[in-house]
Amino acid sequence: MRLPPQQGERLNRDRQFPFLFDGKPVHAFDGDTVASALFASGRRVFSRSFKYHRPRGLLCCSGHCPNCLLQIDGVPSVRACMEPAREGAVVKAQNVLGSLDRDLMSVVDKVGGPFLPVGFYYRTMMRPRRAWPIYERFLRSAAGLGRIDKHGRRTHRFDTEHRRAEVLVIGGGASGIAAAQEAADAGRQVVLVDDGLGEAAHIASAPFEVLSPARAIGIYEGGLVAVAAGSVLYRFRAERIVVATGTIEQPLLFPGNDLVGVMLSGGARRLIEQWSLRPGERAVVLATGGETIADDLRRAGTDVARVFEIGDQAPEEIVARGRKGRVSSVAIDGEKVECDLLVMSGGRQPAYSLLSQAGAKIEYDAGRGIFVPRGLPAGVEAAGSVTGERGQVVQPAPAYSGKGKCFVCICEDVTRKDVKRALAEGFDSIELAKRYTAVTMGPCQGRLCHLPSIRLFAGETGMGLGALGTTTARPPWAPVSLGLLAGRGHEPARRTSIHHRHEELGARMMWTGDWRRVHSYGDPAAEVRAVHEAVGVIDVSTLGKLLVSGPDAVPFLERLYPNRFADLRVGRVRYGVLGTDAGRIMDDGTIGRLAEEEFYVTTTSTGAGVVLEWFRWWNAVWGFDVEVVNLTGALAAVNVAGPHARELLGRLTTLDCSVEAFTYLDAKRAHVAGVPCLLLRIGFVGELGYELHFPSSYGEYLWDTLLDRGADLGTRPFGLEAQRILRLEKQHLIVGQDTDSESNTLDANMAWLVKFDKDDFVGKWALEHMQERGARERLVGFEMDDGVVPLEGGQVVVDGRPAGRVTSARWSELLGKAIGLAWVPPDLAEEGSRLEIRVDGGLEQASVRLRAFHDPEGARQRS
Amino acid sequence: MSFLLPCPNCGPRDVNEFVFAGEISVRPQGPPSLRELGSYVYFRRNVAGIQREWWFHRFGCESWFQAERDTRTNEVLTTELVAPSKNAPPAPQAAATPDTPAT
Amino acid sequence: MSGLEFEFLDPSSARAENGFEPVQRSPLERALRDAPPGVRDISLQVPDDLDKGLAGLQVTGERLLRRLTDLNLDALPATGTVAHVRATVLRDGDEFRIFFPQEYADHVAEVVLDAAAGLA
Repeated sequence: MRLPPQQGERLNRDRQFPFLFDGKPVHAFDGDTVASALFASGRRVFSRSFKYHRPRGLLCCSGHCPNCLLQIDGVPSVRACMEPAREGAVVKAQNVLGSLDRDLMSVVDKVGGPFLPVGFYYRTMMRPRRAWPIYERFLRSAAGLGRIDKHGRRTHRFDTEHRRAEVLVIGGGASGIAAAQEAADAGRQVVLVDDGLGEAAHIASAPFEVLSPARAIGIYEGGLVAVAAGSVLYRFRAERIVVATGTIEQPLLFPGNDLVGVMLSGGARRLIEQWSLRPGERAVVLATGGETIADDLRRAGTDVARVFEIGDQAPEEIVARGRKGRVSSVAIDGEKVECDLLVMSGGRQPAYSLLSQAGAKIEYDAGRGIFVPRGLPAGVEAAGSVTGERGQVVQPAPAYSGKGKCFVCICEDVTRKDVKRALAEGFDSIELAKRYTAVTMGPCQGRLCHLPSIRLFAGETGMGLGALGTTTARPPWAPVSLGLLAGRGHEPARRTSIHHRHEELGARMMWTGDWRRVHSYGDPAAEVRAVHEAVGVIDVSTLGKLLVSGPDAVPFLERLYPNRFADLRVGRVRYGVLGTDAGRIMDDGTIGRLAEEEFYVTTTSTGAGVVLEWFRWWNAVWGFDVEVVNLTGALAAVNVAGPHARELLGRLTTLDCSVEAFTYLDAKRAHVAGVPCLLLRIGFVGELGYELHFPSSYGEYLWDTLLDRGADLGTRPFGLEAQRILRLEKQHLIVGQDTDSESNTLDANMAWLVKFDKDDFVGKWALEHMQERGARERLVGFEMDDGVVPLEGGQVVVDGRPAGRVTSARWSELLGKAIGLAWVPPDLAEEGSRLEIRVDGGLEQASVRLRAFHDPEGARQRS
Repeated sequence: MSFLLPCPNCGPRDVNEFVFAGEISVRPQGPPSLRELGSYVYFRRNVAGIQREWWFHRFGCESWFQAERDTRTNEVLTTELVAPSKNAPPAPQAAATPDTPAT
Repeated sequence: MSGLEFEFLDPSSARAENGFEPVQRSPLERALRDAPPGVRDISLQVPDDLDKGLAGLQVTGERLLRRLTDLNLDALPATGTVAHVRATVLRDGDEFRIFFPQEYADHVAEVVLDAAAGLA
């Protein structure tokens, strides 16, 4: 029943509009919440409880309890008592089969009790096992409260914003406002966060910033406070955090305490003061300081039948009875009073959760009967009633006796009997009992049930509340959607400067780390053919590129690599493998000497960052006079390979590319089609090839020019798949594919590059030990007898047992064979040894080949 | 994890801007026995207390520095750039002897 | 970095010759084709003292920056994380210039345009 405007009402009666509830229009004033408007329209049942589907009505009106959870505009489980009414909003009940007033699932309340005791899911619905699919379907449809879009469409936009504050005040009641004011007066930059219930939202011109409605959901290390404000998640870094979150009124535990019409005194007061609503016609008050709320009720026109001061009169038995779920009377120690509203209060518990997250210790104050925060860490303060230093002492009984369901946790429908049963079953520590009974694990997260449940445990076990302690408070303190935490969901992807050309050619792309790379342009076999017979071009811009320069460049590289570089002439390139002090292979690449003290080092595509860190770290340790610069993105790279590569290049540059002037493993610089390039003659794909490195802004231009001017030579772009086949024909390994974190250079057939006569290099000692010990396994090439291509990772089998593994395998059209690389026991690492490889559950035969399958002399790449 | 790490160059930053490279250990100066090598490569003191460790500012100045952090609370006490001498053997400020393996 | 062979690979060394006319492209050109005012491509104007190979964006508005980075905007220039990648940010009043590795161009443009749309 809507009253004339009460003092402090939050309504603007000049504006009213309808919204829909379960298809029917409901009238609201501007300033109403969905719940207050529904209450004004006469609705009393707002939800059905989780397990028993009992009707539930408004209880706290402060966003703590689960009783008003409704689906609003497609968003499930919205607290209607906090959600402003909006014109045209579509509001629906949830967790009902039928309607709020006639829920077919309420049969569970009548008969389900014995089948659904605490922890029932550990005992029931298990046999017969073949009936599980039926049980599961039932449980899945019965479980949960709200419904979401099963197709997982992103229908809401959530953003994340970074903010700073010198002082962040959480809570906009009197104490929060005072703390914010004080800090602002001292010249600090202050932000105050309030959930909308405090007065802060209504201050005309505050000297500090107010964010409302907004809820701080967690305090993390480093003064990080996450604040949920509608569809924006603010990540605040605050130098000082003031927590003024106040206290939460606690319910009383007695049979019938969940009936519709049983309200916390604060809830009743809010209905009267903020929305000018009469909470009931005939009320009984069970509280301390009961006269204050009784006065408010009388002013609102409610007939206050009885007022019981719980502290003074300490009744033994309290039983509320109802009709169709709505309270109709309450009997206190046998004296029955009729009422349609039962106002209760079990005292106020400081809302310490954020402080606990920040590192405060939670102790029991026996004098006041509440848990209070102590020992706050630096940078975090508590202000107001949350400190526990104020307020009356209220010590209600843990529970009042009487017949009927006495609810400890209304979110999870846990009764006093459930708690006793849990204790009897041995769950006698607070953390175990919480997990077994599910108390505090529902939407209220313990706001209304943590203290009452601890009081109950203490009462039943005889342990003191202080000894029992509290359960760990974890974020989020208020419910948040996963969408808000996820934000926009962008994931960084790296693309070369030639990327768009690949897309235009219809390339099939793939990921290499966070790089987008071309798998193929549709026909890898044709791409391979082009490289063997004509010219292929591949975008290898993803290669890591580091410039190492300085007076100590040579000793620096000599200490890092097992290779020798002192004898690398200017203008020459050498293949190098980086190892760790454990003797394991880390990365590989080419090292080209551009000048006496200037080296151009390439790394694998995913290794660039790691190698840069590695180089810089060793230099932090050794202090050589060298500089390392990361050029990975600055330069694009294209490999031009095939018997006609020289001819194509000759059309684009005046550099002498004859085999005499530009030999295999030379590095030269020249303008190619007008673009300054570093040209490296290296042979990963086994044919005559030149790797061009040049400024990335010319990527598309040079790519286009190569394809255009090379068209009549049969020039084709090729991708990673073709590259893999080509390098496999030459038995060139790929670090990370053919090697893993345990592989070493000796066993991987690269002993030739390890120069043991050097004084010291990273990995030398480990490799010396490995050399002494002898190989445990060896990397070898193999070819299959019958052309079956094994899976990469497939087992090499010896005497029926796994003895090795296939790391790479492909069909080679050129050779007409299935070929690959595998790790095998050393005694099988001989030319012609026979291998058995598991394929599709059977065993296929193969022969070991120690030399490159194609052009083992390397004549083609040196031509 | 969201504590702030004060980079010697860039000032206090979210710890996720950095790469953690573990507690500082002593690299053997001459050829080590297999046992000494194993200790150096695989063993760490892993103290519950103040640890001296390496950090790299990957999303900032891309420099390496050493920090002292209480591993129990993530309180960072000091951070400093290291300036080694080329000729001195590489060693951390406070040598930490790793536990040797049981065998 | 003066006097190095590597400097031969500077983009400004490109030249028209023998019928070839090299064409440079900004890595952000396509992604920012329909960008709103307040988001501009400045890749071809990277200051000399920064590393080469960077893409550059000019963005207007502190609020937009706060959706992209947790850097202290009153302590610029600085290098930190912007749109999940390493970037250097310079400030001139309400104008911010962001320089980052050019291989992230499409990604950063996507994040910035999306964040701007969220504020529109």
